[in-house]
Amino acid sequence: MNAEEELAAFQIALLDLLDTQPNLDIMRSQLKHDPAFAPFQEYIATFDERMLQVAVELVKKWGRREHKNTCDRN
Amino acid sequence: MFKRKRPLPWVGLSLMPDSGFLQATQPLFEAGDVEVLEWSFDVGWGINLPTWVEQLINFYSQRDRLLGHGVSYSLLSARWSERQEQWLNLLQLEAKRYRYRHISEHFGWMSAGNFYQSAPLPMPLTPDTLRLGRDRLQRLTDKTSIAIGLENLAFAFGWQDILMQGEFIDRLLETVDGFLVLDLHNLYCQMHNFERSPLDLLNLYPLHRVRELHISGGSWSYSSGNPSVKIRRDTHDGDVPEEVFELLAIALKRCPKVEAIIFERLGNTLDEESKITRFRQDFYHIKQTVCKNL
Repeated sequence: MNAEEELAAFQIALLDLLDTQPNLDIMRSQLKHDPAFAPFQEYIATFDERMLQVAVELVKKWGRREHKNTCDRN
Repeated sequence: MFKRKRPLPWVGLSLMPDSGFLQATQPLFEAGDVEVLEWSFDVGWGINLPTWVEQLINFYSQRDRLLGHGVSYSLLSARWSERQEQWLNLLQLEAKRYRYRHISEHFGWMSAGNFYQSAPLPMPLTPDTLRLGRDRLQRLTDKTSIAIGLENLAFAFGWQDILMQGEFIDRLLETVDGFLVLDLHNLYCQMHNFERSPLDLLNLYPLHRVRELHISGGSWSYSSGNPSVKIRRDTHDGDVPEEVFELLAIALKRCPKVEAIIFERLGNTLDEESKITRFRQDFYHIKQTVCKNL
């Protein structure tokens, strides 16, 4: 993957995670093991869990998806 | 012999296209006390705005006192999208329709995959994200000759975002000679949520680039994991805390190029007389703080 694809994959995976997974334990596990987050582990290690919860609320309140049948994660 | 006095920054409002905002602000406009107006132009695209909103935008545009503040460009989204291309084309039309003194957007990103909108989130500063952000800013400046700026975020995933946001914004803006919209309530959120002092945070930002200050109120939420933990949120729905006025006094002295101070409040949160009264008091408190400190 080139740099742009890595960044895009990280962003897509992060929004999906925040949107669909409010459980902190599962989020922690996904952030550690999902390949999309692998290049950003040093950054993710600085995440404050309180802020992850805030991010979940923000995405829940403001997030809007296109009405498409497939989600482009490639 | 005579010390040249710095002109006072204008004090104004962020225009909200709803009746609550109009009711609360009408006396301020009628008194001529709103010296500058900020309009989030992309909120108005594709919808029919009330006549009074267009009249206000026109009024301030004709007097060269209109500022633009986009919300949905998504500067640091990694994959360039058709939506962003269309956003730039609409911006170009917007800038021909009205005279904006300058235009700003938010640092961060909000769209990815099939999310076309979310809340702006930060990204870590790396050579790749810097290159990405500079490219997106250049595309903005290529579409309009108007000065372009970025606003700091309240939200941070952790301490790295807090420490690096100022440097990231500065390095983005240097290639377009851009300006910073320093949101003081956003700094206040970070002060509380990450236990930093006002000066600790202010010193992280390129204060020589600050052309505009944002002032607002917000709210407290409580961590679901530990209900005793209070988190400050930038919800634009509450009174301006006294600490934010204190930050304003400091920022006015440390930011020599501030031209405008914009007071932000969601219009649909001004639904009681007491809230409207306090809103107007906060507006005049901003003006008094400016006069007292410059």
